[in-house]
Amino acid sequence: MRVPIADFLVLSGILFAIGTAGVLVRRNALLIFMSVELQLNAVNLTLVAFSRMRNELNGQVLAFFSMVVAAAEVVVGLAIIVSMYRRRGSVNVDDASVLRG
Amino acid sequence: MLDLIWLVPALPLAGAAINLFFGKRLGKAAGALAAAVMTAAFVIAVFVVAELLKLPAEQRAHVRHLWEWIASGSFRVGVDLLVDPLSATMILVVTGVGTLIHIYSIGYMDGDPRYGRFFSYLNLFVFFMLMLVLAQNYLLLYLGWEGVGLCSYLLIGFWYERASAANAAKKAFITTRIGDTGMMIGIALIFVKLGTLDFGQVLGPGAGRLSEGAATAIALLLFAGAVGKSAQFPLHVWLPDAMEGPTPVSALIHAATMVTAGVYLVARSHALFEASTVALPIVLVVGLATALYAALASIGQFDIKRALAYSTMSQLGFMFFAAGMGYYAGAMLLLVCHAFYKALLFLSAGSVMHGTGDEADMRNMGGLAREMPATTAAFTVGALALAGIPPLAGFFAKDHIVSFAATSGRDLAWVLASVGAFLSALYITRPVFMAFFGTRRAEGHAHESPPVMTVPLALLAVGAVGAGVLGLSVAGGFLARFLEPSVGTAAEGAVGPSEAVLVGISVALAILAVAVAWYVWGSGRVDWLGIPERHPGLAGALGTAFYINALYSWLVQFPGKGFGRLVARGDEQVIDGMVNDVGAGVERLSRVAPRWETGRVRSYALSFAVGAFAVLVVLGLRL
Amino acid sequence: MIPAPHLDFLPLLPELIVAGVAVALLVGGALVGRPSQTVLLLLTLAGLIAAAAASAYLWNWDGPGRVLGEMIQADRLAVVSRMILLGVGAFGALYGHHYFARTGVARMEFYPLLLLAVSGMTLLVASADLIVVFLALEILSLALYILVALSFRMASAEASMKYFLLGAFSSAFFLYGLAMAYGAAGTTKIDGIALALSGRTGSQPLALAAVGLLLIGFGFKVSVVPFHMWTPDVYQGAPTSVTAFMAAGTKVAAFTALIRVLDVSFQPLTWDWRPAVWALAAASMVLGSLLAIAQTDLKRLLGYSSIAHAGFILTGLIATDGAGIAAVTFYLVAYSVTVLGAFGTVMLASGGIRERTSFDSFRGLAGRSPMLAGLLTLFLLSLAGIPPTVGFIAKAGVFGSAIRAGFWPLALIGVLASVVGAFFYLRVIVLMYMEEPQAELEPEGAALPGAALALAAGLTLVLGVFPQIILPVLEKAAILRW
Repeated sequence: MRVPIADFLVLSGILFAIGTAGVLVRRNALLIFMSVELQLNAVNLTLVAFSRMRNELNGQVLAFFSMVVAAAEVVVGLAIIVSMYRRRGSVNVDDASVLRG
Repeated sequence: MLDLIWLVPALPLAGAAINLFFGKRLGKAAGALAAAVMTAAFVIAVFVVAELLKLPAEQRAHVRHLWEWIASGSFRVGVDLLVDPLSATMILVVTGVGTLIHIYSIGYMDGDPRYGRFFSYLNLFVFFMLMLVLAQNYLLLYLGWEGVGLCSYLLIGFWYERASAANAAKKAFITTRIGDTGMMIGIALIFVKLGTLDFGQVLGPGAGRLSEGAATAIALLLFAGAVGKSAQFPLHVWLPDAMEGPTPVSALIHAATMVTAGVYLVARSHALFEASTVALPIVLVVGLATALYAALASIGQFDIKRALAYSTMSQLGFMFFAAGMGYYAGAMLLLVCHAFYKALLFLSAGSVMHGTGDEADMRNMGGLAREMPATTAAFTVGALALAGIPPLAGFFAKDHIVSFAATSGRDLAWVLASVGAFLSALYITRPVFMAFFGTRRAEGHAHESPPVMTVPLALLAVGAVGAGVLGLSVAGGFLARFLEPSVGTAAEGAVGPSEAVLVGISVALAILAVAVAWYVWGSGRVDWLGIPERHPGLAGALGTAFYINALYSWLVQFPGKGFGRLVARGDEQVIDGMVNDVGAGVERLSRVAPRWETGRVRSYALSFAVGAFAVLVVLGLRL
Repeated sequence: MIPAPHLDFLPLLPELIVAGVAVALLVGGALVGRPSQTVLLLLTLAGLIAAAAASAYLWNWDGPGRVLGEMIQADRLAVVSRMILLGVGAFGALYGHHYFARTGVARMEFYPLLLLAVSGMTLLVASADLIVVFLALEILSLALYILVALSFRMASAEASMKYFLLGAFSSAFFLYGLAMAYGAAGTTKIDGIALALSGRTGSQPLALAAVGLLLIGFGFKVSVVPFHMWTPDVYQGAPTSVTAFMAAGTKVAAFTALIRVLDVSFQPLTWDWRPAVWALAAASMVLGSLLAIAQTDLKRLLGYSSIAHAGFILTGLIATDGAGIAAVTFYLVAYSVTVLGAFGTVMLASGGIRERTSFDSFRGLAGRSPMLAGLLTLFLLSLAGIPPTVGFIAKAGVFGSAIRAGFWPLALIGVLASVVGAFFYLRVIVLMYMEEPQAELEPEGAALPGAALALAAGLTLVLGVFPQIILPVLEKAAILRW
């Protein structure tokens, strides 16, 4: 069965939107970060779909690039969140408002 | 020799730099150094102008290209200095009067903890002022324009320990900034329409290519800058407050040079103003209105420097009035003469303050003539010159302008200008009688100032007496002929009364004003000190003192109380209030913002997401 | 037999040197234990200078325009931007040396992180492919997230977390834009996209989505309204030395890459993206200037000023000709010099690590330290765009470009925003010169950052009076080969 390309794009768009919504509604820094990961994976799906559409591999290589970058982001991000947790005892981002206008 | 023109601004700049970095170490030498570079600049300026005079009249415009400032695409601006009769006149005034004021400051600022800093700012001011008048394109002119504003700001607030000085500095900067913005937009508009900012291009063939609307817009935007810088109504509020600065600053910046930059700008850009049919009439009306308004306000002042500040405003109004009639040579003649006698008046006032322990309230003076004869003589000469008593400088300068109004058929303007001339004579003789004659009204001893201050006074007095020789007749004077290549000749009018009649009326008005001033403030027959108590309704209002004066009384009562209050306290309440409200409004607006600037990541992300959506929608519209 | 691809690493040499020194410092530092800060600083500066030399050599590069599988651009824009960035890095190192020397704990990881951030920035300006742009953005961002956290203050950790979460969020948008570009053009090469798009007519939803999403991603990095909200918080929370580095470096790197993306890749869609860029520029100039008025902390104020400046730079970008690009690069030089000077002065005047950056600490600074007050005045005047400082020439350049391209209303908004801007910069000057000191804070004198400040001040003035020293170079660099 061949699924039309538009379906993949719509699905990834929905995933990206869910990720965006997650960033907006979650209070836990870790969950916000996971929502960002969901967005990134939605993009990966788009890349692979376009790759298939064009019958070439470049898009899939790009997806691997993005996975590696995401992994690096996790390393740094977790370190930052953990250090925040150690200082404050909470990963709730609404608590972090020392800096404000 | 003409190519050495760059030395004229370069010397004060060097002086400013040396005093800025080594001012403390130089100690007393700082003032001498600053005065020395000014003298050198003046001497070079004299030689340059002498060289210019040797050329035939039509060739008297020399451009010295120093370096390419900006050359990016079609946007080319050079650091080019223009020596022509107009700029030559200005540099002589700036360096000449500037030198005397620098010398005077050596004595006046003696003992100030920031002595070196003061001279550094003062030299820097002269540098920017010279750049302003020597610039050969609008961008370089704008550099000088902003620079003098900055120095003015620094010098008004020089004694920043006094809150009033700091506030005055701020007010001056913000108020003039309003005009400057208009001017900047005007310059941008010149570039948009003509693709160049070069005077040779813009004022030569360029002005003719502009449409009526574009020329009007450009001229009025430039004039907005002039209105701010030259303290014309309605942007004049900063000038009286600017008197918080040291007196030499008031003399140099807020009387002789910087405030005249607006007049210079109009004279320089006259081709643009003439390309529009409404621009010059507006200049005329604004100038005349300010001349009258400020003259009235000056009569109500008790602070000697504030009285002089309103007087400056009024005189600048006369200059714009002349320029508005297309009589640029007349405006420039008044500019030159005014530089002499107003600097003289301010420096004399400074000498009074120096000798009486910083007393500026004329109610506490009186009878200073005995203790300060030299200062008294100087102030009196300056006042008579301003009043238009022949054959002093002010007589020729002001009389030409008033006569020109009559002979060019502007009868109403002529009447109003005559009234203004009468008021000028009145307001300027008033401090003479109040401060120097009669008896001393306060405790304390006054002493004459040292020669380093009185000698510059004497030299300025010579100028105030003799500068009239530059323009002995309305159109045929030396200055008018000299300036002809720059500003053209004003059409000689043939209507109205003959020149002899006009001169007679003018002189009679001046003498009448002096007599009135003597009667009220000098004869002792009027208890002018007691007027505030006798009229408690207007107590505190500065206008009370001249309630006796028939003319003023009529002016105040006829249009009703509101106008009286406007004249007496117009600046402090009506216009200040407006300026403050605008400022407060902007601040309130910016306070709303922190409500969504909550410091929370999620609200930031929300702003981001909404913005992202908006960007995509804007792009989606292109589908 | 597989033919070995020809790999020309020379155009990548600056990045290799910088990243190499960074790794060497990390490894070496771990082996030595507690290396001397001064040695670390010298090695860092040596690396930056070597990279600058390599970069300068590339000015006359006559090899292929793109190397390493057409991933790396070897043009003069890359050379010029690299030089600026390496200079910014050197300033950052000098400031950091001063700042962290006082913490008591040897912050040895500062130098490698700084170098890694620099390598990301320089890679960004030399990218010939969107995926390299993405990688470079991540390299510099990941290093910056940690640099921001390198202080023991609570604010520092908070700033880092905010920056990180929002940065990751914006990366997702950028990557989505990259995917859309790939879908629209079948390639992610910067010039390849232009070639693929130029022949087409009719509506191009994927390409429009691509340019929009990329604009959003860049918008975050250069702090354009409405993606700006992290800026004041992060600028205030980060160690001042790091703020100085990131304020200048991120703008130079991201704007240079944005020039390539907008003026090359999406050049065929110029008329489509211009309205969006117009709106972003106007919003940034206006809001950045207005919001700054209510600030009471100098670092926050400079944060808002940075937002307004992002708007000014976008104004120049809207004219897509060579002169416009030259004006933008000149603005980047001007902004870097000025903002490095401003933050450097703030660092010295606010007690370094103690970070007393509220307005109260600057009251009467002129009395305590006339030198610092004078320097800060100069830098603020340049930020306000008052002649004869470099900031004035920069503003005249970008507004001129916008006017030439017919966008005079935008230039007018810019002029008015500058007027508002002058007001709040002036307020700081008033504080320093015309108010009584409140805080008992002894400004620090320091030789190394002092020399850096003198250099910044000199450049601010000299480039304001003689911009022709570098303008011809920038104009040569503005010719994009594709």
